[in-house]
Amino acid sequence: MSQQIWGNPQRWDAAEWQSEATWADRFMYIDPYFWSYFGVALALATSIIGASWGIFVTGVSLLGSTVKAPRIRSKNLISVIFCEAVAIYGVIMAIIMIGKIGPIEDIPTEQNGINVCYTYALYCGYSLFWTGVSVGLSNLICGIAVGVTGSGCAISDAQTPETFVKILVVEIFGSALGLFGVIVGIIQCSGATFPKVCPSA
Amino acid sequence: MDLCVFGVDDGYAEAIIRGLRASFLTEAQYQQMKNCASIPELKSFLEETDYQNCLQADNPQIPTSILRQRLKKKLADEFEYIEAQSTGTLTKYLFHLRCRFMIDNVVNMIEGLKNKIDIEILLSNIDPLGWFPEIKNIKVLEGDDYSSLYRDVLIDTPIGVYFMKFLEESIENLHENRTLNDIQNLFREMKPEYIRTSLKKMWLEDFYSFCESELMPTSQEALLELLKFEADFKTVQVIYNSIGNRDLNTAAKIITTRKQLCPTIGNLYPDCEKVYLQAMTLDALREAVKGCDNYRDLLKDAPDPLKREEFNVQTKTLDDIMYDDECRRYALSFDGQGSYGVFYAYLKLKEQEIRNIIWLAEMISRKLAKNHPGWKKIIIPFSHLGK
Repeated sequence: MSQQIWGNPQRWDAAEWQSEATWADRFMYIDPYFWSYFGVALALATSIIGASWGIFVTGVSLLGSTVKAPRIRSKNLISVIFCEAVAIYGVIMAIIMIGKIGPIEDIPTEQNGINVCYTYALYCGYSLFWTGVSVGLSNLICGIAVGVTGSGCAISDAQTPETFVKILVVEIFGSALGLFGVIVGIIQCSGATFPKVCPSA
Repeated sequence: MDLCVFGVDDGYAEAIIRGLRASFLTEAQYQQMKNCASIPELKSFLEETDYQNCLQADNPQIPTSILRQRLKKKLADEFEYIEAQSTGTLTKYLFHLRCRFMIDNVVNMIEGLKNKIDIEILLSNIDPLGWFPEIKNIKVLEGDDYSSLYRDVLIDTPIGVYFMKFLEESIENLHENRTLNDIQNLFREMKPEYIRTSLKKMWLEDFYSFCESELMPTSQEALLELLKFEADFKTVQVIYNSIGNRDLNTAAKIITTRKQLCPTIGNLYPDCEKVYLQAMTLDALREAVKGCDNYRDLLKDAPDPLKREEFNVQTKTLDDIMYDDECRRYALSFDGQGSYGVFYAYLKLKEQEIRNIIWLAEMISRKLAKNHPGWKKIIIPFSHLGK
């Protein structure tokens, strides 16, 4: 349990932990590795949910309008590519974030050292979690936006060929949203690495 | 939110409609059709448009009725394809749309049977959009027993529920000591137009309540407006046709007929109901509808129904004015995504296009002069969009 790895062994023992610890204590001692891996999963999974949502919405309209208007086939695959890009953003962020996670080799024994070590680890864990949230949610919504616009693009291209390029501009602006998420995410997790060796107080 | 999930079930069907929308004939093509000198020329022109496959098997001098059957069969096949690709609410919705054509078919068959036309000819003339398997069962049993036809055969059809309501309403209106003979006479004497209008009114109301209860908000936005407008048109038409109608000689009869035939949905009901039920001249009708929409402008140019005998090919009748406005609205409904209105609009506009082609075919086959006013009587879908 966390208080045996990280906590102050003199301050609490098992029985006291059960009776004296508050909810704030329990929250504080959720393992930083839990936070960091959860962040990685969020970044990856929600980006891919957004991208796949976009692809299925676009793909359906593309298939249907191609039945009677085969000329739109190749042009409108661009919408699918834009949605795919959103998933790639998620994968890139996840890889960057995984690179920052690693075990701590040398945990000190005295109380001060342990506290310092834990603080660094917590900083890293929280940072990666919220990076995952910001990247994942922005890619989710971006994927949906590009997908719905892409389906509108396919449909209106089948109806009136001149509208294709205009709607593509809307899609480009939509896909920029995912890029914003990635940029902020990279800055957010740039300083956060699990320390290999605990820094001294 | 329904835009995000519309694609799951109905995206494919809607996208097919969008592709089909590009196949409507343009103004330039109508102009070329008008310049055709004979039916074979018209046929070869049509074979270059989207209609190519359906006319290949016929000889060039195709009679107009066969031409109409072929064009309608093509529309029916397209619609069947879309219905086959749809699922859930959309299938129910598309089936509902077809009930309107089923009503037409059944009324035509009953009329034909009354006039002792051979049943094979009747079956070959039905509108293919309104085909349903039970239509082969419609025949009159011995003794001209129409009531059993209504009771046993028609109840099983998909539109049986409308017939039941219609019968209940008509039987109610008979006097107290009605006998079996009276009922028989009722069915025999009933005018087909009256039956048709009543059934279509019931269908429209049923369809409206279906749309209100089962569709998503994006679809409702477009459809409920279109349906209300159609109901208002029906109301105005009923009143217009009943002004100066020779069959309705008493005021009470006029009011009961109007009440039976006017739909109970739409912008005109119930606000203007009292006023339009009493309207006995065109001006009174204009007064009654002046509060709603642009109906006043539409009725401004309508010819006076009391002078019905003076109508000729040149007068723009109320029907023409209404079709014009209707087509404009249906064309507008193609401007939104994720709505079921496009299916309805496509059906109506394609019907209008078929009517146009048949009208032009008739004009060409009669070899009328090019300055005959009849050439201008076609209403081109999407023409107001300037394409």
